[in-house]
Order: sequence, then C-alpha cells, then structure tokens
Amino acid sequence: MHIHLRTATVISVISVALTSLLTACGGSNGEAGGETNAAATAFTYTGSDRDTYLADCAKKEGSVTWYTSLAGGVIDDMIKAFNEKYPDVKVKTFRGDESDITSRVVQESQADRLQGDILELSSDAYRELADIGALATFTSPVTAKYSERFTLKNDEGKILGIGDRASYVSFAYNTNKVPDADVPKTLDDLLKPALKGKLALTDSTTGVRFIGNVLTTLGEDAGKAYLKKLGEQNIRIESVSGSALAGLIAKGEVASSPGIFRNHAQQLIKDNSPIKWVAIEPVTANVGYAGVFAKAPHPCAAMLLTDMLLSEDGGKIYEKKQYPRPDEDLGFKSWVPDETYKTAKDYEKAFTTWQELFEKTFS
Amino acid sequence: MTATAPTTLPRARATRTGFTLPRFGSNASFFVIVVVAAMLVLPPLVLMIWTSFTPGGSVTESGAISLGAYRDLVASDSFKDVAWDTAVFTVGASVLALALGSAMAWFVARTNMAGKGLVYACVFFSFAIPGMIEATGWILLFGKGAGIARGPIEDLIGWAPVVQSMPGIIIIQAWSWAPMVFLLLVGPFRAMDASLEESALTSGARRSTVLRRISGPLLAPSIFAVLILVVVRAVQAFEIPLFLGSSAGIRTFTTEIYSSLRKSFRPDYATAAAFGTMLVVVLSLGLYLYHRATKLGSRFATVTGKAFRAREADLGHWRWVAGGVTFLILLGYVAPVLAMVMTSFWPQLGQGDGLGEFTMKNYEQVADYRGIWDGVTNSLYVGVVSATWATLLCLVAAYIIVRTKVRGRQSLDHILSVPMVIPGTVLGLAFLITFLRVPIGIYGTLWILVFAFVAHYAPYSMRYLQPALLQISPDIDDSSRVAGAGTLTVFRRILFPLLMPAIIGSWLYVFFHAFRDVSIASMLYTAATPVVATQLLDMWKDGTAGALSAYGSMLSGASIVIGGLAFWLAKRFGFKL
Repeated sequence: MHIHLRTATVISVISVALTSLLTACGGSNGEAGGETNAAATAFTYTGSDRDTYLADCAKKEGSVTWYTSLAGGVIDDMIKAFNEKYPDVKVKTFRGDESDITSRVVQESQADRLQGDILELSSDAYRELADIGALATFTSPVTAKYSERFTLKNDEGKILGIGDRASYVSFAYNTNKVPDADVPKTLDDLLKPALKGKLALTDSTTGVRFIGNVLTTLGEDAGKAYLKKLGEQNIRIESVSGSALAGLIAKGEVASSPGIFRNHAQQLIKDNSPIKWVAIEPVTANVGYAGVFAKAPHPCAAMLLTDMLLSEDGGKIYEKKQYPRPDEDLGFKSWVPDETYKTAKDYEKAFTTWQELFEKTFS
Repeated sequence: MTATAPTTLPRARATRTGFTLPRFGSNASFFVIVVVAAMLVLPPLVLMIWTSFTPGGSVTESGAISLGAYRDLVASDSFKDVAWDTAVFTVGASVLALALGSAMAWFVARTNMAGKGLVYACVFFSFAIPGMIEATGWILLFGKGAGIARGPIEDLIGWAPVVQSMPGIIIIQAWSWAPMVFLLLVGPFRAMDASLEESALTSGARRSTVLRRISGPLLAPSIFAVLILVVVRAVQAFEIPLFLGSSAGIRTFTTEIYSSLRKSFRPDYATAAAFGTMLVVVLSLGLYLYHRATKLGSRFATVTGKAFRAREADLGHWRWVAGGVTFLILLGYVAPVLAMVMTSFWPQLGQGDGLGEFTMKNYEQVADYRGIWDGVTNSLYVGVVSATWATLLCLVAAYIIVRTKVRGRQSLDHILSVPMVIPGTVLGLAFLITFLRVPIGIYGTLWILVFAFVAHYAPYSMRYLQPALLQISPDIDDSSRVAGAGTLTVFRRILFPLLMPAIIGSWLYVFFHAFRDVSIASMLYTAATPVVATQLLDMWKDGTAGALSAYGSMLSGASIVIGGLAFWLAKRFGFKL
C-alpha cells in the first residue's frame, strides 16, 4: 500500500488526537464496589411486604441479567419457572465458564459498565469476584436453610453468597468404547495402557481443576511425576464446556474423560445414552454460589431471581437436572478446590500454577 | 460501459454554472467522512497497539511502557507451536484453495466440461452456509470418535479421514475458499487473449507446452495476487481452526487471541493485543505484496480491444469425468449440512443400526432456548444497519475520491482500507478495549457491533462501489449539470440508479457477512446483545448439541432461501455478488 507522506501525516495526527482523547476519557472509576441506594434497599429489605415490594419494583425494572457458568437446560428451566411467577421481567443471560464470567465482570466493573444483576458461579471464581468488591451483601428469608460451610460472608458477617447447588467432577466413559475391565477406580488406573488415546479433558477451568486435584491429593512432587506420565496417554483436549464433553462421550466422539460432571452424565443416562459416571476419589466438588452484583442495574429483579435459585422450587429444578444441594451426602469423598486456600489471592496463585502445568502437560 | 479515468469539471466551468457544491461544501463533506472513517478505524487500532506496549495494566489503566508482553510471548513454550501451526495451516490452506479454485476456473472458462452450473452451485453454497455450521457438520461426518461416515469408509478401505487434524482443517478451509478463488480467476481466464495460445498450437506446440510456456506466464501475476489474498485470509481464519483445530491441539494466532482473554480470572489484554499487533504487521506486509502484484499484473495485459472469445478446449469423454469430479466437490458443501439436518431429526444416527428414533425434541429445545428470538432479531438488525451504513459511507467516500479534486482525498481510501489487515478477533478486541474506555454508552448495545462491522467490511464495500463509479463517465454528470441539475440531483437521478447494481451487491455482501460473523461478535456481545452466531457458539460450548443441530439446520435453510433469492435478483438485475 503506497501512502504519501502527507496522507500518512494526516492519518497520524488524527489517530494520535483521537487516541489521546479516548485515553483521557478512560479510567472512569476502576472500582468494582459501591452499590447504589436502590440496590442497597432491594438487597436488604426485610419488611413484611418484601415479596410485593420486590415484585412491583422488578416489574418496573422490566428485565434482569444473569451471569452464570451453569450449562445445559437447567438455565432455561429456571428462567421458565421464574417467568411463570414474574411474567413481566425478561431474563437475559450471559453464559460462560468461570474465566469467561470473571474476566467479563472484571473488565466491565473496571470500566464501570457492568451489565449483570445476578451471579451464579463456581465457588472459586465467585470468591475472586467477591474479593474485588463486585458483589453486594444481601438478606433473604431463604438463606437460613443453608449451612455455614456453604455461606460466603464478609468481614462483618453479612452474606455475600450462598452455595445453591453442587456438581461433582470425575470419570465418565462411553460404555461401547471402554470395556468394564478398563474402567479406572483410582488416579493410577488412568495410566493403564488400555486407556491410551481414549482420554479427553476440556481446557476450561474444569480441566485445570483436575490438575489441582492431582497435586493436592498426591502432593506436589508425586503429583507432577504422575502428570508427566498422564501426558504420555495422549489426552485429547477440547475447547468446550464439561457439559459439551459429556455430550461428546455419549455420542462416542470421545471415549472417556476424568473431567465429567456427574449431573451431565446422569441427564444423558436418562436419555438412554451409553455413558456411565464413576467416582475416582476425591471427587472434585464444584459448588455453585448465588448472589447479587453491587452495581446491579436491576436490583429488585436480581433479588427475586436469587430467591428463586435458593428457594424450594429452585431446588426441585436443580434436582430434576441432577444437581444436589452442596450439603447432600452422595457417598463419596469430595474436594472443594478453593476451600484449601485462605484467601482468594492464594487460590488465584495456585490456580495459575495449575493452569501452566495443564498447558505444559497437554499442549 | 468503458473504464474511464476519473475526471471532474474544470473549476472555471463549475464556478460559472454554479451547479456544483461550493468548494467549502466538498471540503466539509470530505472532512466529515474522513473523521467518521478515522473514528471507526484508527482509535481501536492505536489503542490496541498501545495496550500491547503497556502490560500489567487493566482495561482502563495502562501499565508502564515496556516490551514485556512481546518478550513473554515470544519466549513462551507455546509461541513456537502456535506460529508453526499458523504457518502450516496458512501455507496448506492457501495453496490447496488456489489449486482447487484455479482448476475450477480453468475448466469453466477454457474447457467444454459437463455441468459448469455445478461450479456455480459450489459458489452459492459456500456463500450461503456459515462456516460454523459447515464445521459442525464435518464433525458429525468425520469426527474423530463418532463420525457417521468414518465407519463405512473404514470398513471399505481400512482407513478413514479425521477432520480434527491438520490435513483435515486445511482441506475443509481450502474447500470453503476455493469458490472465492474461482470467482477471482474465472474472469482473467476468460478474458485472456487466446491468439497467443492458438499461434503456439498452430506452430506445433503441444498443449502442455502451451500451458507451461504461454498461458502460465500470462496468468502468473493474477494467480500470484489471488494467492496473496488467500494467504491473508488464511492468517485471519477463525471458525475452522477454533471448531476443528482445537480438538487436535492445533492453535493459531486468531484462536490464541480468543482464548488468551479467557485463560485466567483476570483477562490479559496486553498478551492478546501483542498477538493482534503482530498479526496486523504480518498482514500489512501481505497486503503490500498484493498491491505490488496487482500493479505488476496490469503490465501483463490479458484484455485487449480485439473481439474474441477464449477458446474452449474439447475434453472429449473427459468432459463427463470433469463434471463428475465437480459433483463430488459440490457434495463436499452439501454433505455436512445434510448430516446436520439428519441428526437434528434422528439424533441416534450413526450410533447403531439405521436411523434410530425420529424426534422433534431438538426443535422444541430451540424454541425454548433462552433469548432465541432476540438473537435472530439482533442479527437481522445488525446486518441491515451495518450493510446500510457501510454502503452509504463508502458511496460518499467513493464519490469524493473519484469525482472531486479535494486535496488528500486518497487518504479516505487508505483509512478505509486499514481494516483489511485486521483480523476479526483483533478488531473485536480493539473495539472492546476502546469502548470500555470511552464514556459513551455504546458498550453493551448493538451499536458496538454495528460500528465494528462497518469498519471491518468497509474495504469490501469500497471494492464494489469505487470501480463501479469509475466506470461511469463524468460526461454524464456534466451533461446533467449543463441541463440545470445540481450536484444532489445528479447524484440522486443519474449516479444512484446507475450505481444501483454495485450498491445492492455491496449491501448484500455486508449483510450476509455481518449476519454470520462469529470472530467479531464473540468478542463484543453481551447478555443484552446475543446474535445468532454467538448463540451457535454458546450451544457448541455449552454442550447443547441437539439444539445446535436443529438451530443450524433452520439457519442453513433460511440462508439457502435468502441466498437463492439474492442470486436470483443478482441475475435478474445484473449486479455482482
């Protein structure tokens, strides 16, 4: 492309001027926290007319935006149930894995352009966002039913989030592709020659947490040695969610994976798909937390949807889709990734290490 | 109509008649269009480059100036793999697309092969079916573990291809671009003066010698120019490498940009921007070579004033073989869509004997899918508005460049050409970084998508409008002005109707591409602004495979109907697509 010097000068001057203008405009507030008065009122309202107050206010708001890492039909079922109760509130969703959601919330919060009202996200990522002040404290009559272990509180003891569902990640396989004799019962069994070329993982946070599980269970050095051997099993890496990977196993596209959610496998079993899920202990527990954004543009609708997720009706929808509440005992030992770490920063550091190891092992 | 160099009325005459816009009017229009074009294109690009040199900051605050992002990137273990994969994919897909497309062009233009219409059917399908749907269909057919077609083929010949592999993505990508190469080359092949070839043949040269010594060298510049254009497209490719390559551990620069923002809890803009900046530099070099090649091409005149028709070689019985091969190539476009339609009704297909149980469940799931109609209406809105604005902007810009003498008017062409070197993911990233900073409420609305699409497709819109305007002799404008018409009247009553085929062509091109684009939309959409492409992407990532096949089938059907209508209109009203 031949550009005259004069033209180049004109373009450079315009671009520098425009960029300076934009840069000067940037850095709006950079703070994620600081809820509005309307939000504070909606989130902490305890009057006897709470339901009516929130319903009227939500109707005026007209919509609610839900950020979630839930996958599959459970989102649609939850929205359907919510709209049966509140037909005038339109639910918009942004679905992604934990990194998608956190990076989206971080970038929008920093630019003071947050679009989300309510968050339902795995505990580790949820804590990250609580840590940067993106979430508000709230009160709801339904929170009393939940145990202290799965209630996230701030320093003042106020509730920032409630663990509304759990999903458990372990080994699943296509029954036509993996014979019973080759099905692993321990981490060591994954190294069996019979499974070489038959294993897959997603490169999402679910795959990365598998590395965390191995390192925590076996210890740092033994864990790394184990991963080196596992890397030689020719693991296939898919850039999809855990739910999608379970679907690929059911179709036979992928033979097996140690990173499959129990609930996704159970749903596919109900549809007569040739898939089975087995627990390799400790099973990684993915506890989803629900809560509201401090700068939610639609706080009343956000509070109503949060109530819905935590309510008995919400529990039934989760149950139908094979998501138990986090306290339920399913008969196997589990590991909640972030519980081992005191602060969100410590966890983030560990997570980064797992991620690097994941790339090194499987790329 | 003859191609004529742009000329304008002599200034004195214009002043005397008083029918043109006053000079300050032309200047003002030029200034407004330059500012609009520059606002669209330059700040995102400059901010992205700036971000790549200021790592460690956030989306709104820059870190200290350093080369850290580039240093870390180049030093990382994966960089070499990504660069290698990108290089292999680019070379493989470009060379194969060129070979396939030029063979198609040669057979259509220079032989009497049977079924030439089949080649145009290939063009139609590659135009109408979004790449994401093709990719998903290919997985259903030749997926590593459960491809429906793999079993029977393996039984027959003991081996079956896998699409999730480097050869797989190269072939599929080349397949999808071959029609573009065909369209670019069929003209030069047809327009070639056959007298040189005929002289050689008469003098006793063999056909292969003629091809090697006469036709080849004559067409070399055109072929080289198309090759560079395909290479540029290959470096920018996103959908096929993402959908098919990632399963095979194949990572290209564009998929790395997409995933580097999603790797950790806090997005790493500097690394993504460094990747993007590197790509822009590489592609600028490619485009520079392309311009050099096209300039060189003009020295090898293949179109002369002599009336002739390029001779069609008689293939004998082989003309049917050529037709058969073309049919197989066409099957390559149709089969993935058919596979998708079949599995949307018979999900168990390929998992046992026969079709399995018929169901409408997947379509019911689509109907219940969250915000499905929002996605469709948003896509239509974004497509229509982007196509209209891009065409209008480029129409005025082309008019200023071709029909006025405003000083520096060529800078408009240069500014509007800049996005040619910016891949969709990079442009999306640049717009994201920019509009998160700018305190105007564009982020989270459909306007951010519209602006990005207008910027991204303006260079293509210009390619429709500028040559069309150049072909209209300024004498027509002058005659109208002498007859008393003002500039606006001339534009409205004379130029606009004459340009209509190019305007419709530009509009349809932008509309279709904006409707199906996933690379830009995936970076910029929010909960409030889902579009069809992001919903398909979400279904794929979310594991809603049944809904994906049903939604993909419905969209394919709609695309084929609308695309068919567009082609019919194009034929009827004589505009190019």
